[in-house]
Amino acid sequence: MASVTMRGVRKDYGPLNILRDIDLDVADQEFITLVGPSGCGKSTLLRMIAGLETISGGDISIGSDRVNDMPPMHRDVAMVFQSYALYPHMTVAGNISFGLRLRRVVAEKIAVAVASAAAVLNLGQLLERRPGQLSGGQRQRVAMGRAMVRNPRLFLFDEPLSNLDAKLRVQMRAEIKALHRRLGSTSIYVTHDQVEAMTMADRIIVMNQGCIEQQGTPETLYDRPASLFVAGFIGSPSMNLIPGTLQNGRLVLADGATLPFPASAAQEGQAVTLGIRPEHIRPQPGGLAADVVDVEPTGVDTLILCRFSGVQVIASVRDRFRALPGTPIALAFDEDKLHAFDTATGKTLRQ
Amino acid sequence: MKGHQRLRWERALDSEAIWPLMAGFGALYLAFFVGYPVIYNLIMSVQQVTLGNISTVFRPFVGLDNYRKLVDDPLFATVFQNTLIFVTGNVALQFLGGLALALFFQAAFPGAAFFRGMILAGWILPPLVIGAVWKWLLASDNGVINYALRGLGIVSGPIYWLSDPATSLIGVTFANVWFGVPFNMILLAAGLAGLPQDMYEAAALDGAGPVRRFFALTLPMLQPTIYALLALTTIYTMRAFDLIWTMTHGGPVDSSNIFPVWSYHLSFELFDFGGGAAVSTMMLVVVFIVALIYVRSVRTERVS
Amino acid sequence: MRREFLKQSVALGALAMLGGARSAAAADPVTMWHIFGAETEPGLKNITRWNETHPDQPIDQKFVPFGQLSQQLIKGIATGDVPDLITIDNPVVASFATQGALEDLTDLVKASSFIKPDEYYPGSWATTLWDGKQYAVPGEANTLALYYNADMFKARGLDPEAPPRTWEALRKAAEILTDKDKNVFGMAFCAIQSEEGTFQFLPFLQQSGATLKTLTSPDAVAALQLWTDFVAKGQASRDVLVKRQFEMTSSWLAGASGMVVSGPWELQRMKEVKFNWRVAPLPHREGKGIEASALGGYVWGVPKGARNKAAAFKVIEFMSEPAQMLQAWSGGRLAPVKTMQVEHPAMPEAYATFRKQMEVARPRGPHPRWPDISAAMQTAIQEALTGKSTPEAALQKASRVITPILDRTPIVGL
Repeated sequence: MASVTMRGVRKDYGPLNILRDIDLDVADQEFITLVGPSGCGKSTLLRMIAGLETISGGDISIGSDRVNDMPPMHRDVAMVFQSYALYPHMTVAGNISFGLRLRRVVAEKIAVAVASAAAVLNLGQLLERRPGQLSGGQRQRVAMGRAMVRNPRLFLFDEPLSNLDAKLRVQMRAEIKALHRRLGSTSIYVTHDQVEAMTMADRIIVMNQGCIEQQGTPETLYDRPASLFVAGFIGSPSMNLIPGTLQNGRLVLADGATLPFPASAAQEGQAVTLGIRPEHIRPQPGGLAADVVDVEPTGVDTLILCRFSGVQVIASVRDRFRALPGTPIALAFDEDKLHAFDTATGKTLRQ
Repeated sequence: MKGHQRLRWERALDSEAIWPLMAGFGALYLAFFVGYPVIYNLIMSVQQVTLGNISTVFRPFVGLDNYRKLVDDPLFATVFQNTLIFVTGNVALQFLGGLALALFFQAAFPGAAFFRGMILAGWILPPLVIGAVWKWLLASDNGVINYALRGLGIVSGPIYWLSDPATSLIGVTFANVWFGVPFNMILLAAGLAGLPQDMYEAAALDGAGPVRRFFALTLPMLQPTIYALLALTTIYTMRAFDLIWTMTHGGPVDSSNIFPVWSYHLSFELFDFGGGAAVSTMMLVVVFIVALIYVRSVRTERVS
Repeated sequence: MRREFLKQSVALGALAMLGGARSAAAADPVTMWHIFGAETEPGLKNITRWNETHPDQPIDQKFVPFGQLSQQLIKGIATGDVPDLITIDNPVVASFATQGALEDLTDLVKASSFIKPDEYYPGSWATTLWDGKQYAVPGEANTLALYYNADMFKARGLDPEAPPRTWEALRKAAEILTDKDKNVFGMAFCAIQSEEGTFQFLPFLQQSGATLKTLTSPDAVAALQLWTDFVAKGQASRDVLVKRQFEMTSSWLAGASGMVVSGPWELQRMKEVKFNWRVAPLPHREGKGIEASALGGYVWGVPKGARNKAAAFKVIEFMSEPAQMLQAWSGGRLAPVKTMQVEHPAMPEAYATFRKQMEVARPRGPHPRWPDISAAMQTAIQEALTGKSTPEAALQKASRVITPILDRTPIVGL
């Protein structure tokens, strides 16, 4: 097992700057997720750790080794690819044992390792099949098995679940977590799916446009987003963000209506954005007057889309709620759950 | 009106009703363009054929006399051996050369596309031209290759590439390899381009170096392409005629004589049509066996 | 302007109708396959002449490369698609004739007032006969002589006005002209494994005093020894074994050899030669004094099954008139008729030399199995020149193939 350290890591494709000045520490045995929209550089960063991409600047270390110029085969890391990247001409057993055979592990040990991986991943019946004869989920498990048996000092996952259907995804999520708990291996997991990121990670790294926006535990990111980007990215449905101007401690909207605004570092008259999660808005008689735009029951919660003063917000309530579009509704905000952002810089104004 | 018609056409082409038509067309094509010449040749090979009776089918039947005469001919052993060396040499060297070039040009260095195109140019030249050019290059006294070898101090005197019975087969093999390498390169390059890149990345992380990746992944993955290529090259090489005819006429002393050259010599120079047909038939049997092995290997590949 | 154009159009239209009517009444064209590839070929000029003077029955012509002529004719016979008239390489006439592939022209030739057998070179005429019957008519002839580089002769102390007339003189000249440092060979000829090799060797065999029937004689061995020595002593390139006649001549033109055995068809290339050159008759063997050269050229034949035999023969007669025959020299070939001589020929010395060689040019065969005889000779030549066998052994082996063939069917006059 090993820690990973990145200092000032850059990636350029010619004049194009993909990653700039990434500083990141991954502790031994930690499970972190790199999350962000497509094109944010998260996969590139993962591939640089694996050695599949060159490093344009800065340093990457695994354990105590500076690996910048170390070929992938010597880094002792395993990776699970989005496409699984299985060897089509080898059997499942052959795929799983390929790395061990390369290391000239004795046959008995290989057999034991393959058998135990197959047992864990429920692949016992499939060992003699070829990848072409397997379903997506089975292939995914073979890819996992191939990574597992090597017992590497670092696991890398590149959106391993995005080609699976929703049900299988939830199941595999749990399996990967269980695997990590059992092996305790340092893992870096790339995904564009914030739910996956939230549910799996010890720590989430949110990336945007080649930079780290914020890192922290899932709770920290959810409760204390450092920027408008993180606020909007983490959480589903995402946080309501209402832009306006700060006057006399309240947010003034375009039509002159006002909303409560938390204590913050904002100046009087500054362009600010108010953030509030759907679950912190509820219907309450005598509250803010609004119109129902739509009602979306999800089963657990009910989402109410509302509009007032040209602003659309989503409220999420536990109770059953029915209303036709256009029905007037009165809303109340949990005032201790409000988030304040600088509209210009997108940074939090929390004190 | 027009649109309606097109629609009907497309529907007809999409429907299963057209399958028997397609199969029938295929069978007709086979019978006419493949079956007819093969059978005609086979019949000729068991007959006594002269210019006087060549235009009819009912010619004196001589059984296997033509074949017996061929096998008894002292040339048979020479030509057989030459053909074996020529074909295996060509298949091996064309494949290795094509593979080396395909791998070389896979690296996207500046100008790779241009050079690859230039190499292909060799393939579109007619064999007659290639034969003439190589004959000139391999000339013993003022040939470019001997000049280069002597200039580099590799040899002291000229090598009589084509005029020495010991080397003439090497000379024509060389030229034919040069001719066939671009074809091998293109097919292998297409095969390589079809291999998934991430598989190599996974193997690199699994600890496989470039050599290991080549033998454990590239070669087995290219296997269908390689089988097809080996079969095709064998068949093409079995038919090589123009090049040798231009370069050596099969000489000196039949040292570069192979089956197609012998067949032509028998039929069109000695007017021994039965003998020529018998040689053709023997070649056909070999080609048929190669094709059969190829088809079988493809089928087992698909089943497994 | 417009009226003028209209008038012309009407006139053209009428002409076209007339033409249409006329061609409907005209006889079928005479179809011809020939070897006249280059635009400057005299054969093509003669076809144009015929078409101009015989618009009723023009020649419908198709070019076939020399090397593919037999193959094309065989395919034509096999599929029943033959022309009315074809040019045939003279040594294969007997093969085609015995196998029934050619029409018998005996009566037509006898009745002809244009074609007079005794005016032809006997060798040329002989190639058109088989078994007492006439299967073809000579069209054009060529032969071999010795081209030499006069400048090189002078530079090496040889008299360019006195070319080697005997084998000994030839050996001597070859030795003197050879300059190994400069990659220059004294002698060049063609010993390729094809008819061309036989074509070039036969004159030397004949000069030795031997014939195809006496291949094991010391005379025959001496002839092959002469060629073998040239190569063994490095006085001729080993590439004589694989290069064709035109390729050997090209080497000579490039200064790679002092002398080359070649034919008049190369004279057109001599116009651009940068050195002084001459052409002399082939030498003879001392003590024998036999002058001999090769006889090449095509003959006119009518394939069996031709639809227009009579018209085809009319074309043959036309092509046999002096005006057409004498065109041959413009293409570097000769009329096969002794009595026809070009007045004021281009390259008069060369013309005189080659006409002189025609006097002693001997046919190959005629024999229906000439290709087999020739193949055996080619093997013998190549075995000796590569050193695989001695000339004696090589010729003995050839004799074992050729003698039974000649025993069964002799060559007339041999």
